[in-house]
Amino acid sequence: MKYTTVIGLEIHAELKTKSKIFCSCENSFGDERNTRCCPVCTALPGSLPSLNREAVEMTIAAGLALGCEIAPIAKWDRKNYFYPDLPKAYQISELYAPICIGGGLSINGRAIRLNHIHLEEDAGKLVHQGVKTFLDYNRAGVPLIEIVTEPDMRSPEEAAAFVEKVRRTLVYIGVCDGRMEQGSLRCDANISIMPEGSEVLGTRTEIKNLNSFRFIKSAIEYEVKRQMEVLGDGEKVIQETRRYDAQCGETFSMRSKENAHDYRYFPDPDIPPVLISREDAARIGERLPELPEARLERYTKEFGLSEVDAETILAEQRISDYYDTAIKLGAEPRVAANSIKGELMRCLNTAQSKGEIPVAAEDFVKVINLAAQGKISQNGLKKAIAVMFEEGKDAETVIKEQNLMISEDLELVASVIEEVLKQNPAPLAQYKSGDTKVLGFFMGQCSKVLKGKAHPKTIQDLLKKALDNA
Amino acid sequence: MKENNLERLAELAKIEFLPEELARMENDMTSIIELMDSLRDVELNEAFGEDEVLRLAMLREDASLKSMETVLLVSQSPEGADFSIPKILE
Amino acid sequence: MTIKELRCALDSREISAAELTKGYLAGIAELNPQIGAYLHVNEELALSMAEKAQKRIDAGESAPLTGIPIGIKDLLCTTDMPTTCASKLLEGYIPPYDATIISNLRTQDTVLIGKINMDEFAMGSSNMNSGYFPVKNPYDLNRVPGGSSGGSAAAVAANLCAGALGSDTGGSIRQPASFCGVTGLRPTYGLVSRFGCVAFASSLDQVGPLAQSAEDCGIILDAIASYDPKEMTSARERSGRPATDSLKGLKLGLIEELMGSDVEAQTKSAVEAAARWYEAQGAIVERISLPMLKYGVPAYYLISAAEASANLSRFDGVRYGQRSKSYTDYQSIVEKTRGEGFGWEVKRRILLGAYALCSGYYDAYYKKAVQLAHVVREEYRKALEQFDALLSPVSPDVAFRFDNAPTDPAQGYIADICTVSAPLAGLPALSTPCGYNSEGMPIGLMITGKRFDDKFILSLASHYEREFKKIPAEVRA
Repeated sequence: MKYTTVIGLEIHAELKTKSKIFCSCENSFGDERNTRCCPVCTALPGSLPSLNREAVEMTIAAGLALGCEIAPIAKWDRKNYFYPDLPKAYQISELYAPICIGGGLSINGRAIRLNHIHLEEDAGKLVHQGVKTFLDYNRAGVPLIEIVTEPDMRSPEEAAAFVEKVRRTLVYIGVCDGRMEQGSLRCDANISIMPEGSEVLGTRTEIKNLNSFRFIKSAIEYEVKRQMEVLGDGEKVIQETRRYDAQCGETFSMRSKENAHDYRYFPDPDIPPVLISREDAARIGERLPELPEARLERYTKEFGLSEVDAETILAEQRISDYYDTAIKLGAEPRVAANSIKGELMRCLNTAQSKGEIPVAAEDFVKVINLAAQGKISQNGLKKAIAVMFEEGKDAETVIKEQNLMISEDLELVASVIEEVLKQNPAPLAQYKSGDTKVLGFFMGQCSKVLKGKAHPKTIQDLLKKALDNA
Repeated sequence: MKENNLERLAELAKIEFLPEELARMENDMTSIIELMDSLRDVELNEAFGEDEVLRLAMLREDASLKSMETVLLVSQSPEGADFSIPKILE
Repeated sequence: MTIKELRCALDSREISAAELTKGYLAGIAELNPQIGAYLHVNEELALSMAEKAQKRIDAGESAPLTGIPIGIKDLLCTTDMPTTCASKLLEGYIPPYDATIISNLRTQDTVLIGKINMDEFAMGSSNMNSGYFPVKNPYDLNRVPGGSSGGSAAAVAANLCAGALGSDTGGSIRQPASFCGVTGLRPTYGLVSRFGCVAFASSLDQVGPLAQSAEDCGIILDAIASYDPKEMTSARERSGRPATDSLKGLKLGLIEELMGSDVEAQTKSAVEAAARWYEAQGAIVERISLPMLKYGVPAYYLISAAEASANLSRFDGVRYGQRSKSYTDYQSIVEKTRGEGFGWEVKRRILLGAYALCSGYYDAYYKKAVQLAHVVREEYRKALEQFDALLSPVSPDVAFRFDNAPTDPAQGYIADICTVSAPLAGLPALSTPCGYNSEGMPIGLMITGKRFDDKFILSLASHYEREFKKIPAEVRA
């Protein structure tokens, strides 16, 4: 029996606001327990929420970047359940009127639709130590968007690719730092299987809290296999929530969390509905940077880069922006691409630097242009970039200090060539009789003497002339 | 109101009732719900507009302020110096 | 003496802040054991506040409430006194922050003389639901003072403070004010900050003043009302009709449905007499029918219970409050703390709220109730286009005896018929004394106005009380 895998995802992304969603506590990662808290995010009696404007605007930005419609009125609701990491014993979320509706992305030409995106608050953390569980509310109240897809994905690879694309988009537009290992982006997967050709969806299970592309793929792979085995045994798949154990690569039922929650959603009376005008949405849309897909088009169609090279450059927005700046300053697209994906990215990876690229675009363009003109060698170019990166000096200074200019003393070159020809009459005769391969030998001899003091092209041109005239 | 309904509500509300309290509460709830049921008589078909809405510009500006000192925050905790419970199995 | 008079006396040095506070403290020491209005009084603390106030008075910089002793209903967060909401669950709880209203009062160097008793978590109409001890009506210690701000009304009536703060969700300021013969105002929703006021029903709660006169209520209102950015439902636009000098030509509507056969005869005649008094001053009084009012009680109870069921979920014994001693794990901490700590009425409301929101019941109960609230709001809006304010009784009868309390919960809820609709419509409403029955128990007149017409309706009451002969409570020690 052949089965079709059906996957839907719920991606949770923490927004990069300065403060939490309902209070002014700092929104950052780590720190000692309960050092970024206040009466609101710890639900002390009498506290009330105050919605963070930027959280709403970032959600709108995410929606626009992912092709959603923006709701004219957004509303917030209370989702009621008891758990130690939820101080109010209700989570403020959006059920009835989420900010973003619809939308989607295409993965390898297939359209994956979104159902909606809503804005809610994150819960705190449980820290198990010995016989106690400590409650850390630093994360409680961090704004979270939940991106809910339709069950359109058909393979673990497709699901992982989708999450990757969403992550990249969110990082690009600056609403999420995408640090999956820190939990700023995580996803729940809803998985079911149905006989190939059928249109009736099977019973689905939910796997919670997958926080790496690897886990997303392997968890779904395992779960599909498991469901196939269940059905193969003549049993039924039970609708339940499961967790993925990365150590052994299997999913386990979380039956204790079951007991069919009745969340008793109702509109939060502390939060009036929020009007989002078309002007608001337009303003936010205008602020969006060019998205990866559009850049890919440009790089491949206009600049003639290969798709692989283009993807490498636009993997990080800062690199892509840098590249675009370099082109504007007159760099040749493919030459610039080579140096960026070569030496510059090597420097960035070695230094593990996350901020602005420490080489000014002007200086970068200067040195790659010099190399293209033959005024510094390829090695010289690499050195120039590395030294500018590490020492923060500008192009002129570095070239001078590192003596990278090929001082093309044409007389010196000519005299060296003359000398070499004189010293090698036999190879010369070989060349004259038509064996052009000997050119390589002469090139080697000249370069040895000139020791990088002339551009290979210059040597070659003059050598050829000399050989022809000999 | 059926008794298993009452037990379900008590579970949702996370309130422990002693066995002798259940019957009394059931009587009370029956009487109260009967009163609430008078709403059933009313036919309402109107759609209502929003009362008070906020514009985006009225929402709180995103700026972080100093949080409450941890010592003060946990000062009323039954555990004394921290927020904790007996270890929970997830 | 009224607050206005006390202000003069303090500023003219006729009396010192310390003397004034000491006077009230002595009264509390003498009468509180019988009346039970206060849950917590810290004499040293009160006198230190009086001292600060005196400095300010001496410097000629007094504000309207500087040095004036005001009682605070125990659901307002105060950092220097416990805040228990009259619940065992919060016994000894001292909040680490002040409610916005409390900050406002401290800015004026008001003397916050003590925390006042109430129905637990503001749920009740008798103050018999306090987790500690009941409050008694100063007019007759065998009768209830009303609720949930029974302690506030009793404290004012027995002269144990110059004025008090109460809270009104379905009538909890107005009804006890009428039972205890004092004036109480439920402000327009959104006028007074709810930040730091322990929430019962978020869309209905408002903190408001109780005092011996409408004018005093106005002074307290001015001190506490402010736009609070920490509360999203705090009103930004808050301009309304100012106090009126003259009653001539004003149109007042007497609500037909609240003057029916279920209202006690003496109450009706007192209210009618008040209506005739307004007519005699040149106002036009007509009857108005608000047929949807009769659904006010179930709509109010469903909405408030639903909101309360969520608002009270945070009381789980984990981060604050009296954690049960017999727990073994998280589940039992929560279930036992709530089982042991909450009183019976609170449990009833929480279960009712859960019921109304349950899957399968939501549409028929909660959603219907919300729709009804809209209808009631519309009905009031139309009525207040025709009339400047509406008149009615505050309660179908006077304060009942402790041994004659309603045993059926529904019966108790139905008695709230007069007061629940104004909160559903977000309107300001006050109770002002307008008579005494044959047993000497006070009867109140309710005046309801348009949103933000708080000062206007207070002035309507002010005019009336200037001529009304009040009979003070005589509590014997």
